[in-house]
Amino acid sequence: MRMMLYLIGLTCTFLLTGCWDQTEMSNTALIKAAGVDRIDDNTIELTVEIAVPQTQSQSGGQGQSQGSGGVTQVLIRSSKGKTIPDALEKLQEQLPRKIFWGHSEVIVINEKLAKEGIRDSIDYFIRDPRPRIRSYVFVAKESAKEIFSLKTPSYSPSEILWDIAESQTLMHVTLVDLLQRLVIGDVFLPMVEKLPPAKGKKSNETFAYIYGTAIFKKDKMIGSIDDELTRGVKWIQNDVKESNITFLPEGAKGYISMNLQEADVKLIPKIKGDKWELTIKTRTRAEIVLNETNIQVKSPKEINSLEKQLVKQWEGRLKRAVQKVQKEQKADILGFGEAFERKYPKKWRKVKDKWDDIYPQVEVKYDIDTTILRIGAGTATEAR
Amino acid sequence: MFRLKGGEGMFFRRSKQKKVDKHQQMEEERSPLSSNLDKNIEKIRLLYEDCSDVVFRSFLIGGKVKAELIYIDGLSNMEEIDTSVLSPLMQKMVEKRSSPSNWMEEKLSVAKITEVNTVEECIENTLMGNPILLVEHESKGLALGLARAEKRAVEEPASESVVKGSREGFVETISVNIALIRRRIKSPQLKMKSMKIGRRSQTEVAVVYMKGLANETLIEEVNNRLQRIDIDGVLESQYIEELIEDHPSSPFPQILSTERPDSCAASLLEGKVVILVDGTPFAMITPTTFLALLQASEDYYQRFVLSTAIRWLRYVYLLLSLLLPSLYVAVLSFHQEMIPTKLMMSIATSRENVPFPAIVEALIMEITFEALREAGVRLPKQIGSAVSIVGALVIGQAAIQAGIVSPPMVMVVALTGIASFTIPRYNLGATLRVLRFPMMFLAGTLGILGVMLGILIILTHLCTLRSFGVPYLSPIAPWNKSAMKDVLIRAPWWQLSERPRLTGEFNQYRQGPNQKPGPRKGGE
Repeated sequence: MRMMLYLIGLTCTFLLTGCWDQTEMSNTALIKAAGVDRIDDNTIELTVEIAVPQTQSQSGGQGQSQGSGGVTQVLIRSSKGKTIPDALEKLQEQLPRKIFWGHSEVIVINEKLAKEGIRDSIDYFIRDPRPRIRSYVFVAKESAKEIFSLKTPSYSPSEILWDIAESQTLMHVTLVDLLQRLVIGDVFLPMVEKLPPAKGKKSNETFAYIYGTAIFKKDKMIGSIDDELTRGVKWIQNDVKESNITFLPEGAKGYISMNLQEADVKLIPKIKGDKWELTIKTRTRAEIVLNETNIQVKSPKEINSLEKQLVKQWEGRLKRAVQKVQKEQKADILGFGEAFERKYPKKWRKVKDKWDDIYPQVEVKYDIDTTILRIGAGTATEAR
Repeated sequence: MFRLKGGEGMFFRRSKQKKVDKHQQMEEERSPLSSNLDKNIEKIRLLYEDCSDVVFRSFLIGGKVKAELIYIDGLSNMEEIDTSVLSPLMQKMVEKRSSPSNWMEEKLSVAKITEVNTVEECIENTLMGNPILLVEHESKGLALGLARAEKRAVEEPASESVVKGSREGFVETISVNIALIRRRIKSPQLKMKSMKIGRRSQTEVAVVYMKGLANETLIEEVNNRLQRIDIDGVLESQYIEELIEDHPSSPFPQILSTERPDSCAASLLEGKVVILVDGTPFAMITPTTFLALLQASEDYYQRFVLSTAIRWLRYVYLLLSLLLPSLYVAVLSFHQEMIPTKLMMSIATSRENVPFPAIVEALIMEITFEALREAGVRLPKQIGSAVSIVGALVIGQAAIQAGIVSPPMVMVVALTGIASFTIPRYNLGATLRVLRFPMMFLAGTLGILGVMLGILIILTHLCTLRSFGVPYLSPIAPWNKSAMKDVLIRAPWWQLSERPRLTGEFNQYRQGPNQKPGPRKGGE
């Protein structure tokens, strides 16, 4: 009997305290992506992509509905405000459901805003515990609103961006990566732009894709590099699992393409007196995937010569990336500072403040070696 | 409320006192048989008043000595009575006065004969089906072991079927059950102590154990607990189970019930004690641990690799059967960010038209499922198929189309239902099915925190449980590394050379060393 009373009491306490943060899914507006644009000096515009879990299309007010044949449709809403939370508050007024950040996976920042510095806009996403810190962050050439308003087939614009980032072909930076980079040095983010629409399509019937990398000095964007240089940077960052290199071998007609595998790139720093030196060392294996030339890759001699040419090609790519990033943009996104800090922690502490001056002066050396492991599955198509 | 409580307490106390009085009445003085046959018959007749199934057969031994055969119709072997008792005795020539034991040796071709001295013994024996032979001028009677109860044939155990393994299951008759065990362990070390429990039902209960393997104190404890039972009747082993448990109010079964003689034999060889109850096709195995309830007999009849895999499957589904609906509810009501976005979207889409919160939806479905299961068990077989058809409609397509539940919820409920039936012991599965409901409440009110709270409460409870002195969670808590061979994996037999440690540690090894087979081992 007493037990029963206890039980009843216990159950009541659950009912009293339990449900305070309970949210039913049918009362939430799942934000899939958020974008920030600069309107004028005091105003930003926040655009969100909200999942609409219904098969019928829906439209209204300022937002546009995104037709899709898949399970979810999205709704684009935007609102202006002094800061992101300010804009959010206004956004909530337009929405019948409660905003839910738990599934936001994409954050797009307009280039204009990025050039002013991203620290302020990113701060909300980091400070508020609700948004995911594993969201991918992008810098958009167009306004974020424009990117989200694209009419994409079967997937929403943010889903396409997320999938492209996930494939890791070019840069992919999550919020948490960004945080770490902001602490240790300079930042880079993938750049996205609208793919020019196909002939006969309206200007918004296309999608956005990653085409390059935005380079930041501290948190301010200072420039961008294209896809080719981005690959070079990714190599140096040791972030490439597999990649192709196509080049014109000496004295041959046609191209040869190789697939580079198992690359492990090491940055080996060295301080000799005042001279700071860094060796980019890598050993890799290559596989011939295309051979348009008349070289018959059978004898070790030929393979040796191809290996040497491959090294040269590759070194050239890395050099171009280093030249651009280190000498021109002077942004330490390659992890040089970190490498020095690890090897020479004491010296690093002394020169930490002067690193910006030292960095462009660091001499970069290359120690690249590669082995052509496989010449291909079938060689019958080879020119004789 | 409190007053009511006091009142109830009073009521219980009073009824307890009454019980004691009745008990004293039952243990009245035993009246010895007199040498006057008619007087004896009169006494027995008086006790058997209005019992039309009791037969009193008067006859003359050798045409001279008056005798009376008393038996109950249907409990004794009539043919045997005719051929082995009545006809030889009636044709016997009585030369001189001889004691019954003398002519018993000469004439009665009955295998089992015991002497009875009191009226009560006569009554007991007739009730057991043994005909009583009373002879004029004798103050002793003979109980003839000619009991023949109607018994079911040994059949395949319905609740614990196996693909590979023995197809014999216990039946309702205790003697058959004992024989089934004895057939598997042909050793004089296999002992059984028989006793009668149930003031009126006088049910035969046997404590079976292996001498030298089972701990003496354990046997004593089992006997003591059985002896203190004072109940009207024992109709099923559950009556006894509830009266000898260590923790009577726990939802977890602390005694393993099995229908399989081979499981019993295996437990006996591990040093456990088996309790058999007449009229029940289930044997009770004590002591039992939580993990023993998760071991099916077939685990030991299949290749060990397969058994290990199946055991792990069972562990996973054990957790699923307890936690799946509550985790689903918790995630859907509190932690929407915890599941992958794409899954979230599809769940959100399917739940869009459901008017209830997740917890209500889960309760509706779980209760419906339990009702269907219960109905399926209770209904006559002919109607059973109708239930399954209707049930499939109710908790399937129709409920979804009606917008009452969402498809993922149906899946969760179905998976949970299946999961609870992967547990080899029905009663443990049922326990988990019941515990699922408080877990769902906790999940619906406190989210994952509530689920964790529930798990902690259950784990703490499990840690406190003991079954006849053996910690319920052993060998996990307390930890015993060597016993893990039969928990984490099912090690092959050539590695299972140690007996599981129960209350004591003696007679540790169950097989010789170096049992691992190999191509040349036989010839060594």
